[in-house]
Amino acid sequence: MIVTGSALFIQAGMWETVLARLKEFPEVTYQARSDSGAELIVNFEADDHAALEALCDRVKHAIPEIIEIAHMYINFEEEIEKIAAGAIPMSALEEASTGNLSDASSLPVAQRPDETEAESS
Amino acid sequence: MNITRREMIKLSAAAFAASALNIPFAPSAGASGDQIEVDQWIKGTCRFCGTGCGVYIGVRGGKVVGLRGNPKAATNFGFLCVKGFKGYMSMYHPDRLTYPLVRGEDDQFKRVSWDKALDLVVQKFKEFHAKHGKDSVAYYGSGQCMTEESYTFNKLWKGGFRSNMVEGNPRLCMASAVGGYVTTFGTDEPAGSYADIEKAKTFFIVGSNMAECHPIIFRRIARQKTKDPENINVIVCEPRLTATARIADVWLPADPGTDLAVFHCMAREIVKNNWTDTWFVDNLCRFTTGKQVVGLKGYVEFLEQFTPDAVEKLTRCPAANIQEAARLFATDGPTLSLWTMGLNQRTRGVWANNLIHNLHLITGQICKEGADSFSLTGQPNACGGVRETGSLCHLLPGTRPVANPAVRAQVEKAWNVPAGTIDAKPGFHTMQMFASLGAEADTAKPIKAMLVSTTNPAQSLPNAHKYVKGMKDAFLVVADIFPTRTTQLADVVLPAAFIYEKGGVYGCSERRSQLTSKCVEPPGEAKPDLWIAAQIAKRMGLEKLIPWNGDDIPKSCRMAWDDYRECVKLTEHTLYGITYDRLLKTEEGVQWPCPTEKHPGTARRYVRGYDPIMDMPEIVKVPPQARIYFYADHEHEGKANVFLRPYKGAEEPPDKDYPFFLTTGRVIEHWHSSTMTMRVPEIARSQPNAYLEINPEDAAQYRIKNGDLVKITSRRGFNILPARVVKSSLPGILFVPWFDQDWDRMINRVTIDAFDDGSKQPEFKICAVKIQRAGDPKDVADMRIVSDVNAPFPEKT
Repeated sequence: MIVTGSALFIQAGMWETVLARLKEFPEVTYQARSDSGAELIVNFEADDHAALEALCDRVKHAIPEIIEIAHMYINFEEEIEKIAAGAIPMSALEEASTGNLSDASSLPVAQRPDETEAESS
Repeated sequence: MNITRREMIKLSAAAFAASALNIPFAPSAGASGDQIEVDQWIKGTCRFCGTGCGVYIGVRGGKVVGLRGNPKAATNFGFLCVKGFKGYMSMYHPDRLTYPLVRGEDDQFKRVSWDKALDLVVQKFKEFHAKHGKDSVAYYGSGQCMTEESYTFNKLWKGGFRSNMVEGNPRLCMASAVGGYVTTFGTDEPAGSYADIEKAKTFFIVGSNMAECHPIIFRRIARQKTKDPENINVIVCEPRLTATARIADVWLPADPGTDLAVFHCMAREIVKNNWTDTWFVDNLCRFTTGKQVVGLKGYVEFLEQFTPDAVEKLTRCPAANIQEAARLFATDGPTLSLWTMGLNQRTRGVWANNLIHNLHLITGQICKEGADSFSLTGQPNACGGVRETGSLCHLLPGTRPVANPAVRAQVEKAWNVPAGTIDAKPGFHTMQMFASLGAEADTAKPIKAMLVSTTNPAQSLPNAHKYVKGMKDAFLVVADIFPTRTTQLADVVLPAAFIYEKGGVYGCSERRSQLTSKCVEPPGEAKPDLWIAAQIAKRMGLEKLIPWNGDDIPKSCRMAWDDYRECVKLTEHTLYGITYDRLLKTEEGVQWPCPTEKHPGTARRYVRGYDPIMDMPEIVKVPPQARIYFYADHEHEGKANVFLRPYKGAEEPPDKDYPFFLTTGRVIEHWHSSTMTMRVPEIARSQPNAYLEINPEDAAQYRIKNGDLVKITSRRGFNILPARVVKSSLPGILFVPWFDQDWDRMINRVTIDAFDDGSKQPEFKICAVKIQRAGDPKDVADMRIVSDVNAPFPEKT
């Protein structure tokens, strides 16, 4: 589990709106705001870094009044314990003994990445 | 009220973030219970780019379990980026090298003791020195070693072995920036600081995808732009519409290697429209071809050939964009230029750097708040560790040339070695060094042994496979934390400690030295490179030269740092006032020049009142009336050189046989050859393999669709990569990131090893290739790493 201390930089005068929308995200805990209301302090909680990124993307997408999400503190002690204990499978990353895949036709079939065209401008 | 550990961590994290932003925060009473979030927060720096972000490392139970930004750090103000906070998890990967290994007669590595490994290394080094001379053993280091480590290896080789066969991977990334600064200003590194970002109105970003490679710097610029979009201008010169280019007001999409013409064209527009700074030009600029001083008139005549229309035809960069960029640069300052590898990794890298400096000099956009010509370094300690300690074949500490007799004499005195110890002749630069590395019996290869520290040349050298045989045939010693492509070729592998397992000083792009204290113990028998260097010195009978060979690593680091401070005390790069005690206390580090412990450090060079060197006649003499003075000017006139560099394109432009430009670079997820980052599961999953970016027009012509496998071939080698069809790459330009360790996706098998005549930096960014569709989509998301130290190096080329 990853826990962050993060700042949300938001559009002027919109902090109440943002707070209301944040309630849709149980993984986000509101903690404080600046006097101007332009910055909110929150925690994000996610299973791992990838989930954290996905969560931040969803929050930004759902609340357009958020200009930027900036992490300032990351606690990843649970993840370190898992890695040290070998609980996160690493064997999938092992190199094949030959280390050579020059023949493209020998490669296993997989999905076509179809998101890149949509992302391009 | 009892709170859970999770709640306590959340409150601590929120309290920290609130404090960093001066936001009132009152946690509930329960937050101060018995539980503590970590045992200790230890001050340090991030190691995943050259920004030098200040961090605090959270240690609990002898492990690094958290990271928080240092809100008092002048580099990042407490903010962290994705690159920084993920990479550290690799510290605990089970692949860590934890004991010395020596390759046996059966070609397999065997575990040995440190004594046995080091005795073997020293025995071989001594043998080669005796049989083949002092230059037969080379050192190849890294911009990721600590300053104390690079300094120690450099001193051992140049002062102990009397050999200048000392190089490092900054030759591959920053040498052209060094060459640019030295030829223009007479001395290395920028005049200004990151603090200029918040004072600048116009940003000129060249050859830098900082959104992915320096996210915190990009964040600072993006925030300026967001706060005042109408008045902050961003110009990006870059052939790809990168994440950085997407915030640009003016995009200059020049073909790879053609931007010299763009910069000259901007200068022409500036001159034609009288946007020059007359006082600056008259008093601080010398116009020169490099061989002959020509005056402003000669410069203006030279620029005449670079008309907007002519340059558009040459570069494909729209003339109107160039004209607008010139206008903003010259008239809407302060203007801050920032660049990285796109400018440096070129056969004309030094010239490209010179031409950026030209723009700043003729417009006076330097030596004032918000205005500077600022090279961003790619690695965390390329500046501090390698450039400043002179750990390259032609340098001595203080970034001073080894060929200079006065410099050699001063260093010999500082090192307490006899006069004449240091060889006057520079050693081999990186490409020459690897080309000269080979078997003892090979008379064409004068270098017989090499010690490689904290870098992976078997993957990172251009035209990489050309140099594999030399590495395999020579006696190769590699100190690293994981198995890599280079350890596969080694005879001895020494398990190294990670930055937070040893501590030491890093110096970032803005001349700022920052100390990281040791946080945790290294795993198994892994040792800091400093200890390794000192133990080799001791066994070579050079313990008087390198006396910091004890097991108390923080003490050894301090001794090495003090030795270094003394060595550069009376130089323009002095950091004599930056003591370890001071670095321990200060939150933000200190910028050199810093001649005394009371001096606050220097945010702006060459300006009286800011730069202490202006008033230190024992180092350089500066006229008392001079407000700005380029005191390292070799002509002793206090001027900088505005160069009339002729246009010259890439070494290998596209032609009918190889019709595409190939350019290479980084992605946000991975660090260098991904030996660390590919071991973090979610990084590996999010960017599991390299790919080929291709424009839809080109893809259609070759009937390539997203995901199709594409064979990309240069005159040197080929890769087979999945295609990403994207409009962000212009027609005719292909992009491949270089992190992938898989043999078929290791793009440095394709890149060219031609290098800049001046800086000797290779042209990673440009070569000519051809492509062919190689097949339907396949799953190549294999997150390839060299995991088994005994896995054989691929035999095919």
